[in-house]
Amino acid sequence: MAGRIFVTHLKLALREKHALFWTLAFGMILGTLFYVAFHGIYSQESLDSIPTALVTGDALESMKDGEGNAVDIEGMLKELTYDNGKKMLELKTVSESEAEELLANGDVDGVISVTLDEQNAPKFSLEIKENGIGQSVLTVVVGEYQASFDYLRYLYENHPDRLADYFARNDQVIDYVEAKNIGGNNKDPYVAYFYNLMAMVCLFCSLQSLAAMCRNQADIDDVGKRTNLVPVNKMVYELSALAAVYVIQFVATSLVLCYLNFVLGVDFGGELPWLFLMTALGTLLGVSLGFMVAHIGAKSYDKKETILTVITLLGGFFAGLFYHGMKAVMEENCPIVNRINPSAVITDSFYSLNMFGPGDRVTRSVIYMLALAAVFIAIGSLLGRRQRYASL
Amino acid sequence: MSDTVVKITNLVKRYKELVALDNFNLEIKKGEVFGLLGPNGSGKSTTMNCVLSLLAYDEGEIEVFGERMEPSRYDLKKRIGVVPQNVAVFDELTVQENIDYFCGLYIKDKETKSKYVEDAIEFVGLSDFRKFKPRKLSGGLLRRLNIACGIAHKPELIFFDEPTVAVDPQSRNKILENITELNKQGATIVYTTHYMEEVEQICTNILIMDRGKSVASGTSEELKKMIKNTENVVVDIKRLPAEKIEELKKLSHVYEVSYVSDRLTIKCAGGRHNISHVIAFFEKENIEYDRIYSELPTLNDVFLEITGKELRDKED
Ligand SMILES: Nc1ncnc2c1ncn2[C@@H]1O[C@H](COP(=O)(O)OP(=O)(O)O)[C@@H](O)[C@H]1O
Ligand SMILES: [Mg+2]
Repeated sequence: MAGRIFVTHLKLALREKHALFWTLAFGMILGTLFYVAFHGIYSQESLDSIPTALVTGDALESMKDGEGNAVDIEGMLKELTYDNGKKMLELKTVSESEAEELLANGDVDGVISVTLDEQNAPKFSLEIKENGIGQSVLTVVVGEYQASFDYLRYLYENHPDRLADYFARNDQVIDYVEAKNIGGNNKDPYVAYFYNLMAMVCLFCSLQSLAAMCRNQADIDDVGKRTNLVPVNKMVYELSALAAVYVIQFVATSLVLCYLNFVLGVDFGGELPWLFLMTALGTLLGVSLGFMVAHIGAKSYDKKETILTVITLLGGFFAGLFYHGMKAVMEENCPIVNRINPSAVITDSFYSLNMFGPGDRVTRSVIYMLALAAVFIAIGSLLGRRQRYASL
Repeated sequence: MSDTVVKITNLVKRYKELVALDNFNLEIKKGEVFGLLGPNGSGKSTTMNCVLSLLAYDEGEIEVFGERMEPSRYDLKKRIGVVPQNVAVFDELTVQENIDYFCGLYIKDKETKSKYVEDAIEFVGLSDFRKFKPRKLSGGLLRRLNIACGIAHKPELIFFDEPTVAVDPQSRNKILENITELNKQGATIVYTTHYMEEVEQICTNILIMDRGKSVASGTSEELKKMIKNTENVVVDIKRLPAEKIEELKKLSHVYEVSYVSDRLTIKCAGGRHNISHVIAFFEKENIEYDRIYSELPTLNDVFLEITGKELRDKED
């Protein structure tokens, strides 16, 4: 029975071309746009070093790494290089007032300030006056630094036992945030935008699972009246249909991945099988998110679609699709959002695959995505447990 | 075993303040073609959806095949076929694929299923359209597909919710024939409509409902015996002064006279030769008329007399 439902829903999903089209079109079009926008930047042989002012005050003196040495943020920033080995930043360490002046005169593209918060954790902030390539790169650099330090801090506070492990792997603190690790295997900071893009593409799959699930609901779709009358357990029916949607959508997201990877030549910084695994799990998250929203009480498909679109777009926003530093900002102010925002979770998995390669951290990402998908499906099932409809 | 197939006791269904079903009762016996007749909005679909456990209700009991009907009673659902009011098929699947899919959810065995699907296609006359997508079908053919999807698994009890609304006369007759045939093959039929002619044509038992309440029930003959109206004399007549209408009302056995758009309807209760009395009256008064004939009361008259309003919408 489940097999019949599955096969028929494969057919339905294939013939309902819109959903498939949007997943594909969105990924490919936006991917191409990103590519065009960023390619110009990082393919230039003659990328200039970005004039930047650094204001640290005495903040760094009080910050020590595991062995009691002051953290040399200035040194770290100076070591940042582009792919071609050219220095990324033309760094001047100055006082706050000097920095203001340099920025005002246009002598630097941006001012990076490092301060300490109450817990003695470094806080990076960036001040820029206008928008340009240099400013964009700075934004990414600062975002990455903040995220890296936050991660260290997280380890320090929650899993101090893992710190040693971590340092052993990374030699010293600096290594982690050093230039060559900004993008893991892929040193290009813009790759993070493509992680966000993949996350978004995965979450777009939720629209098709929403559509497929709503067709089984007697108060939304006429076909739903029939499917509610057949002698098949409702959960079996819905999960079989969901599995079909998943398969089709995974094909679509994989195609987007292939397009980005092979056609555009975006280097995700991980091995292909792992990238497919992350895509598979991301798609699962997307599809189960749609399943959950489909079972929210509202009696209207459009309402549910709106809810889902908002979740997807807001999620993308908070995960950094539009402004890369956003995820770091959220990590600092409201970390729970990054844990349950599927977009952030997916972005994170790609990110850690690039950053750490297959290993504990990636395994945890995998387990976490599976768990979150299970939670979405469980919530959807609970909400959908309602046995009769209040009105049709 | 009792031969009651559907039993509804004191069913109450409210949509917020609106009481859609008001202590509604009904009993359907095995082998019947049971007609649920009522104007639009009287609660026919609501009743059906409650019986099928699609719709939650506020009070009352529903039994199907002598057992309490619940959404998870898949064993009972297996024996039921439904033809919902709106066409409920997948637009992406062809005629054959639709029927095959829904039939396959009831019938496990592949061979039996294939045979049943063929039977259903033949039965509703869609053989020439099996590869068609629903979009390509006319309204009447679409209705037939809707029926095929509901009956392919050869259920014992079949619900039809207004299957002939907005259907061309040819398809309509085909559908009515189909229903009678299904009944002959042993299925109990519940037929919902606001067309009284159809009910008179195919139903063995009728329940008339209005505003969520049962108004009257019985066979067509029994229902007609319930009212005083026994005959309607109808005259097509160009012009008739008001005082003549008053005089007509004084004829014996005549209890109501109406004159609307050149048509005079004289309702009679009892009496024989009512039509000749009317003719005699016109001769005497020297009034010219086109056509005169006598009609037996219809279910519409039954409905009219009991509820004081027309059964059918004006636009029908
Ligand atoms: N979902 C709903 N919400 C509110 N009122 C409804 C709903 N469905 C039906 N009704 C009302 O319940 C009454 C019975 O409707 P219905 O059973 O569809 O009538 P019928 O099938 O006899 O035309 C009508 O007054 C209708 O307006
Ligand atoms: Mg109805």
